[in-house]
Amino acid sequence: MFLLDTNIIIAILRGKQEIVKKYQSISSKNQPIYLTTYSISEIYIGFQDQEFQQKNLEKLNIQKKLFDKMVNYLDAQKRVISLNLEDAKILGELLYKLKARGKPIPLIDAILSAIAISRDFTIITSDKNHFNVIKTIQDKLKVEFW
Amino acid sequence: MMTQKTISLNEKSYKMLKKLKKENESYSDLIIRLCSMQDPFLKDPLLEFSGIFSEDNELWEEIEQLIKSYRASYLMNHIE
Repeated sequence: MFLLDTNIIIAILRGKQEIVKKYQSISSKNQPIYLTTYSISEIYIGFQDQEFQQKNLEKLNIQKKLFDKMVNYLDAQKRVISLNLEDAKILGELLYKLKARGKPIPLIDAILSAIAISRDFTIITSDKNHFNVIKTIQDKLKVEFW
Repeated sequence: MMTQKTISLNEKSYKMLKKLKKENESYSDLIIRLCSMQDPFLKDPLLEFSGIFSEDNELWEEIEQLIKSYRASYLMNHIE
């Protein structure tokens, strides 16, 4: 089972061929693939930014409508997930260990990692730096870098 | 454990399904595959909507940078 990071979701939606092909290969094997509400929030930052809206309001509105439609389909398929109780406990442990070892990483990376560790998912991301740091703290974390 | 349901097929439809079934594919997986070809809801929405941002690659490059900067601004060492 896989958990997509925001950068991979955007790459698919931008139609980056190399990423889309890799995604097709796991999707065609009927492997469960999830994304989080946190990634949806991050993509919404782009839709909300006034500078981008001024430049491309019409196009952004169309893209937002399509994105909403896609997210609703994914949600109906139960593929949009958030922290549950078990994930939250693991997140607490992870945050403590990272802080104690003086390894600051973005909170969202820690949240995705906690979900993946707790549910035995593999994170798919293009961000090598932060997830490799988390792996040094918690070797149960499985990550694929695309 | 996933609930099993029994359905009855006539000889003709059974033979048609058998012909379409791939090696190592279960009949359940075959039916999901065939239905997915007809029903967009059952397809993978991420693939169905792949490329919806492709017209504005430059803009989305900028948005990705913005998202990265937001993510970085929520570094754990800011949580005291």
